[in-house]
Amino acid sequence: MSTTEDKTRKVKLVTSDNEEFEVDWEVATRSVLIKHMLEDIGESEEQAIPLPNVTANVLKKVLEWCEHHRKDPEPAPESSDDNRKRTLEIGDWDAKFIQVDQEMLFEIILAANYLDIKALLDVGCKTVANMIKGKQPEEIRKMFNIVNDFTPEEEAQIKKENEWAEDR
Amino acid sequence: MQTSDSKDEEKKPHRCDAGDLNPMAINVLMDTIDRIRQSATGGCLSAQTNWFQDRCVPLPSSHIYNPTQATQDRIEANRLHDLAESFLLTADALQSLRSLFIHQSMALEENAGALRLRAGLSSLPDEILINILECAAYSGGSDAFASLCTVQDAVKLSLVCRRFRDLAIRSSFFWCRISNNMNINLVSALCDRLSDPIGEVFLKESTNHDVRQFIRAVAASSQFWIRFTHGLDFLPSHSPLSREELVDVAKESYGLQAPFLSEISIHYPEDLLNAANKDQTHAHYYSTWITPRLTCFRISNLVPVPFASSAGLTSFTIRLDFLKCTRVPETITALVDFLVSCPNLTALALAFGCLVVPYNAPMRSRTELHRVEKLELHLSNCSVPEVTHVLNLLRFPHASSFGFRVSWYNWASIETPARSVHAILDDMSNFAPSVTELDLEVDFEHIANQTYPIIFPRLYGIRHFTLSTCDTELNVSIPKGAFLPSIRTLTFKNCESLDREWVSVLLNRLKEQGNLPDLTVSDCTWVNSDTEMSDVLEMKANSEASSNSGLSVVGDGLFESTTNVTVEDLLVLVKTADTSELNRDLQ
Repeated sequence: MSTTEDKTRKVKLVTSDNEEFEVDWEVATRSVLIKHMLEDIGESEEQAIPLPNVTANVLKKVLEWCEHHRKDPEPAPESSDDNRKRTLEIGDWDAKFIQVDQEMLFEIILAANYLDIKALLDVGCKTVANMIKGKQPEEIRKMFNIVNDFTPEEEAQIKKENEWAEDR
Repeated sequence: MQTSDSKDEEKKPHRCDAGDLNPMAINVLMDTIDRIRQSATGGCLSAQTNWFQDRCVPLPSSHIYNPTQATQDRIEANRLHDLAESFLLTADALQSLRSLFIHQSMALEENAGALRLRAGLSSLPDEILINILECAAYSGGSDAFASLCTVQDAVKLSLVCRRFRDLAIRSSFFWCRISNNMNINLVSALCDRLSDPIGEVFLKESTNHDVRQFIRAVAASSQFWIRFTHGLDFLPSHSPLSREELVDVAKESYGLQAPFLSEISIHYPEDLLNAANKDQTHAHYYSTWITPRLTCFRISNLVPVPFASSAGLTSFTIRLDFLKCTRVPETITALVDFLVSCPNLTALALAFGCLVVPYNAPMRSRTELHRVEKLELHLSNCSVPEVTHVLNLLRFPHASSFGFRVSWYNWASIETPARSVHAILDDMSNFAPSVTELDLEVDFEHIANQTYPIIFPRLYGIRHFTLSTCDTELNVSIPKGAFLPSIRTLTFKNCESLDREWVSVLLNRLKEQGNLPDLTVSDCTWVNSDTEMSDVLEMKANSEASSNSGLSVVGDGLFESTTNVTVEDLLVLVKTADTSELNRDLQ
């Protein structure tokens, strides 16, 4: 539970390339990892939080997302009905935010995973999912420059499954 | 080893096609590039405006009679002409070369993009990639169609490469929903993949596949079922299973052990209710199942028989369409008997359709369902006395929440629909005396210039009142004296056609009584269909002007989405809307 004091507090974050960011407590604690680290170090305001897995340019982008979503309610713990809520819809602001080059997109996903920011991780995953949704296997291989590495027997088995799935 | 055909292929000379570069142009280009390289300016073409002039064109000379020089000049002229021709060829070749480079550049960028994507994909840990694959292939919805779509897309993804395949197999979301619109081999494969209690089984309408085989296959993994759905709740009459198929289902699933099954939904067409005098044992196939964790049961057009797990139910929903039912009293009696067998119900929803034909009420004492907290009653074309017969048999002494939805179409008299609302709400103190939260939805057939008169009872104990009127135009009367004296929150939801004057009267009444409830207005444009956009904009402008008092407006209309307002704000807005209409009328 955050207090009024917490909300005015500043937090220092240090990236893997040694750049320091000073952000509001409310923004930084969108990250569950940072929140737990802050809880561990207690009231010490001067102590910077090291983030060895995130570079400055990626953290800058992540903090932009955290700033926009600073007032969002805490994400609910995953329920057994989570599968029912799984959609590919992304909010307007998030859709614009995630319009970045491919390298940055995956960096954001990895950073969101490392920093434990579930909502941002969802935005990244849905963006990649939208890229592959509805495409044929060959199109996906071409898109990602990957080869079909199945043995003929394996491929035949999966193709059989595919035929079963298409048989109504 | 090469075949003879391939050797012959190698011997054949290359055949230039029209798109290839002219060899002469390539020579000129090479020569030109060599010259540029060797020039003193280091390839700066703009510093060499006379470059070709100086190198290729003979210098001016004095004019004398000289036939030899004349011959030489002609030769030089021809040479220059040939050179000019070759330059034109080169220019054309450069155009082709430009296209080629642009094309290659784009192809390289595409490859670079694919490599970046591959790099990104390769850097993702398995749990994230599974998440992405699930997002890409998962079709939401608890129905057979969604489950089949998911499996189809999941199988396609698993054809991409071995890593995709391995991860797809690990995903529980992909393979946990199994339905009888799938090929039986696929059904068996999916059942084999179930290793945790997450399975959802869908028995949809008649398909090309054998129901008996399907039930046999899924019953083999019933220890992993958590949800079972038969038919569509919103369309129970759509291609139902035949009697023979139902008999097969009953036989194949007899005594089925489903220790984790928590939800059963079975939706039969109305014909089944009409055929109540026939043997329906097969339709009650669920009653032989061993389901110790069953808590939620939904059923349409069949009153369930008490079964081993009915005592553990906490939520029960039943929908009965009495349109052609000739055994209403027996059906009602069976329903009460079943409810008696469910002492732990906390949520109960009763939906009746076409209960209009008078019948003799079953003679029995009133049954009290003490644990029901949330009660829902949905009436569609039902007349009051017949519904009251049912409600007189039941009592919910501790129900705090009552959702009452009433719809009428093809009514005989304009008073009939309106009376049903008043009568049930008035009777609420008898069948559900502790209700404090009332959610009333009225949906009557929309007829131009037709308003339905409704008289509200006093609603003494209601603290939280939500009113939805859909497209129905109501003429609501409020009783004299205290009305809604305990109100704390008031919500207008989807009340587009509600008379604003009545809203104003209601709010003023509440103000006079000293009740200032928290107001929520949701999905109400408060604009009649004949209201012009200028009125809307004016209303919006006025409401924006009052934004200091906390009123917020969303979209072009007013209250398109949920908005919290104060009584004062809403009164101002309603008044503004009326004035704006009045102004328009005067013009």
